[in-house]
Amino acid sequence: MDTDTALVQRAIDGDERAMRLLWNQHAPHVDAVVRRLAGDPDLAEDIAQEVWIQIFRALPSWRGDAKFGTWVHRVAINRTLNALRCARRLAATETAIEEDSAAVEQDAERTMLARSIEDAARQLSPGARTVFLLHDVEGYTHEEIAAELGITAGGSKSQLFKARAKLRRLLAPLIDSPSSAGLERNHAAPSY
Amino acid sequence: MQHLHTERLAAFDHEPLSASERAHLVLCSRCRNARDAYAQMVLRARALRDAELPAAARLSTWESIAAELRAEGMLKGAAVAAAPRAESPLRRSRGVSWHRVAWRMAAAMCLMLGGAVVGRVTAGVERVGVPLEGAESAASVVPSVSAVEWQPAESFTSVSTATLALERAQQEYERASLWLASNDFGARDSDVYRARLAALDQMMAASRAGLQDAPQDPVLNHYFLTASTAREATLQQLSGALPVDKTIERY
Repeated sequence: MDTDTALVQRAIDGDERAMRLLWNQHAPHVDAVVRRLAGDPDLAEDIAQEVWIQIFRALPSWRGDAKFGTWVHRVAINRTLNALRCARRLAATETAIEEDSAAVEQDAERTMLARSIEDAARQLSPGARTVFLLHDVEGYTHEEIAAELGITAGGSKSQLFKARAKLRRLLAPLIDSPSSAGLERNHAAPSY
Repeated sequence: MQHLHTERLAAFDHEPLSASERAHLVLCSRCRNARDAYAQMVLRARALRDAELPAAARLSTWESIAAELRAEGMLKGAAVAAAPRAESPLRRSRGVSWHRVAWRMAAAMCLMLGGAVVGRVTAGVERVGVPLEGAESAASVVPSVSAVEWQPAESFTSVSTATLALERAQQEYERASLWLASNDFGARDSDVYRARLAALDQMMAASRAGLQDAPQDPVLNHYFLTASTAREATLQQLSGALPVDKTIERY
């Protein structure tokens, strides 16, 4: 029996010290997940406690076939999405798909350049941010995202590509090579 | 051929390019660089998941989580809440030496170990006059603990009584450790904390190894949990002992 298994068993039995140790070990990671997905710091605070309560409620369902940290990560994502859904932050996901494309074009020029991907992601619409974070950061497939958000896999892809396009603009100084940062150039000779 | 559409490039890892698009990419450095930028961005995004987490204030507190769990009946026993964190250590009085902190921790440890030894030795014995010196000295230097009265047992008549006393002693030790972590930042030398952390890690590794062979053993479990608690408290203290622009990355 490894340490996590022993701690989880004690936590299931209602041992407060074991529960607090689990919280203490995994809270930084859970906080990071909640912060990223929620986007808004106040909302993240509201969600974090609920996520932990759900984690403890769900402890008996952890069967030890995945690392405990991986399981916690997954539960944190699911519960955060649920909380966001309850907060009606994702209610406009589907309609936002079409609106996003126009918004990307309109506000790209007037938004501040971001210092990091997480900074930039906060400037996306809630739906686009969620799809980007789930796919490109968390590694979800479009089918999983579709099931999670109640949209189609095609809608998820569309959101992702638009999100990437906007993020690239926001992150240009960080990720673009000097030659691509400028305006249109004459076709250069192939570099192979 | 016109440049490739932005979203076409953004889909670089989803949809293969057609022959004409590939041909354009070979000739057009702008589109090629744009595709490379997307690829780099996706790589960076993927790395976020496992990136070293920056030190940030916790989004939740154990006290509020525990209160809700207790209300739902998921926690057994009375609250063992840590003392509330006080204001920034940088604004705190610096008059206490690290020796006192170490001594207090040692006293608390003696208290707990004394309880464990007494509990084990006296199980089934009618009366053993082992004075709990640690209890007296700890109580004299950690006034906050007096909020929960320490009642040293004069004798233990059963394993359950001794186990209960051991649990109580551990809770007191834990409370004292966390209280000190929250309220006593006299120690300014982070090397002391680092050395303690290294020692605690060894203790945890030893008890963890023991738990592999005897996962249900209460003594080994207590040692492991106690070392974990002390580690948590020390990390808090180390964080307080570091300059504000430094975070704990390794020790």
